[in-house]
Amino acid sequence: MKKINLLAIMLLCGLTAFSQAVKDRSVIPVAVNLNQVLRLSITNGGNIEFVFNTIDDYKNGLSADGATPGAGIYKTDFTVASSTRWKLTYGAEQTTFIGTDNPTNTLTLNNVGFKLVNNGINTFEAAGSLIGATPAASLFSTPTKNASQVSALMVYPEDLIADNNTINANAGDAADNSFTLNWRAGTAETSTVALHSLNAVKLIDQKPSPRPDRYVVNVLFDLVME
Amino acid sequence: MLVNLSLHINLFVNRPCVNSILRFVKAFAILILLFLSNGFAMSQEWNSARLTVFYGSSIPFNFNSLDKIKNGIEVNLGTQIGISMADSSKVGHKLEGFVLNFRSFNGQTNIKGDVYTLPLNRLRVKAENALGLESGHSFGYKDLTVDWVTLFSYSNLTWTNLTWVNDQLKISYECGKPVSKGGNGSLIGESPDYYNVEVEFELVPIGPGF
Repeated sequence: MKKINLLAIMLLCGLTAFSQAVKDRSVIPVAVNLNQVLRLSITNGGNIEFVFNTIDDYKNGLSADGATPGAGIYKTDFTVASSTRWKLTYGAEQTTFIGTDNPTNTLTLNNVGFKLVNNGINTFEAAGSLIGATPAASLFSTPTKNASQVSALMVYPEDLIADNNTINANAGDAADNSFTLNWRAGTAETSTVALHSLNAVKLIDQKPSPRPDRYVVNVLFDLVME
Repeated sequence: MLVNLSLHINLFVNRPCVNSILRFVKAFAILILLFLSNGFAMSQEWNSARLTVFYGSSIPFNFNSLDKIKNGIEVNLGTQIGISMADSSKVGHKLEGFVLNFRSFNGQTNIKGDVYTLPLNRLRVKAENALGLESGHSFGYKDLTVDWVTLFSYSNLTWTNLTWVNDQLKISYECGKPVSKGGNGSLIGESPDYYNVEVEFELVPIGPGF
C-alpha cells in the first residue's frame, strides 16, 4: 500500500512540474548619459572702479548701498547655471591693492568689501544657522553669514557660496542662482564673521595716509562642481 | 508436411528467488509508468506566448542641456513589440487575455553608473496599444522597480489568437521628470556619469485555469 501511495505522489509531481502556462520575456537595456553643465556668467559690473575725489568720499567711503546718485555702478551681477551641486570660490589675486603709477604704493584689501544679495529662486540658509539646518534652503555662505553681512575682500581662494547640503541642491539655471555683489570701499563696516570686517579706520584717518594713486587688483571667481 | 515442435522447460526455483524476481518486475513497472506520465505531461502546453521586439531594443537618454536635466526626457514610442498568443484548447484552461509586466532585470536595485547610481524610479515606463489591442487597458507611466509591475492588460472573452503582425504594443519611457510634472524628481544635482539599467518585460496569459 505504501508503494502505491509513493507511486501516486510521484505521478502527481510529474504532472505539476510540467503542466503550466507559457509566458515569454524580453529584456531592453536603457542608458542614461548625464553630461555636466557648469557656467558662471558675470552679466554686469565686470570692472569696478571707485573714484575718491571729495573729502566726503574719504570720510564716508563709497558704496553701492549708499544714497549717492550713481551708486549702482558699484554692483556686480552674476549667475550660475549648474546641473550639479556647486561651490563658488573667489578672492583677490594679490595680497594688497597695488598702485599703477607706483607699484610700491599699496592699499590693504580690507579697504574694499561687498555685500552679497540673492536675486534667484534658490534661497540661503538662515543667518547664523549651521549648514543644512533648513531643508528648503540650498545655499550657504560663510564669509557673508548667508548674505546677511558685509565681507571684506579676501585673498584667493575663499569659499563664497556653497551647497547647503540638504535635499534641495543648489544646482539650477541662471534664474535659480542669480546674485549681486554690492561693492563698497572705505566704509569701515563691521562683520561678526572673524577677520571679515572692513578696515575700521576710514581712508581719511589712516596712518600713514594712502598715497594718491590708482590702486588695482584682480578678483578671481572659480566655479566648481561639489 | 506438419512439423510439431514442443519444448518443455521445467524450472525448479526456491521461494526467496521468486520474491526477488517479483520486486524487480514491480520496480520496472514503476519506472515505465513514470516515464510515460512525464512524457504525457510535457506535451500539455495550455497556450503559446511570444514577445517580438520590432525596434527600440536599446533606449539611450542623453542629458546634454540644463533644460533636459531640469525637466527630464520622454521617449515616446521608444520600443514597439508584437504579441503572439494562442490557446491550445486544453480542457480546463481557457485563454482570455494577457498582462504585460516589467521590472529591472536580474534584481538590479538602482540605475548603475560607472561611479554613481540613480534610484530606479527615475525611469518610468508606459505601454499602450499600437495595433489591434484597442480594447486593452494601459496603466500609464509606472515606476521601474525590482518587482513586477503591470503596464498593460488585455482580455477578450471570445478569444481569438493574437499574432505579432496584427497585435502590437508601443512602449514609452521617461527619465528625470520633476515631481511637479508627475515624475519622481529631476536629475538636477545628480553626478555626471553613464548610467545603465536593463528593463525586463513579461507577457503573462490570463483566463480560467491559468
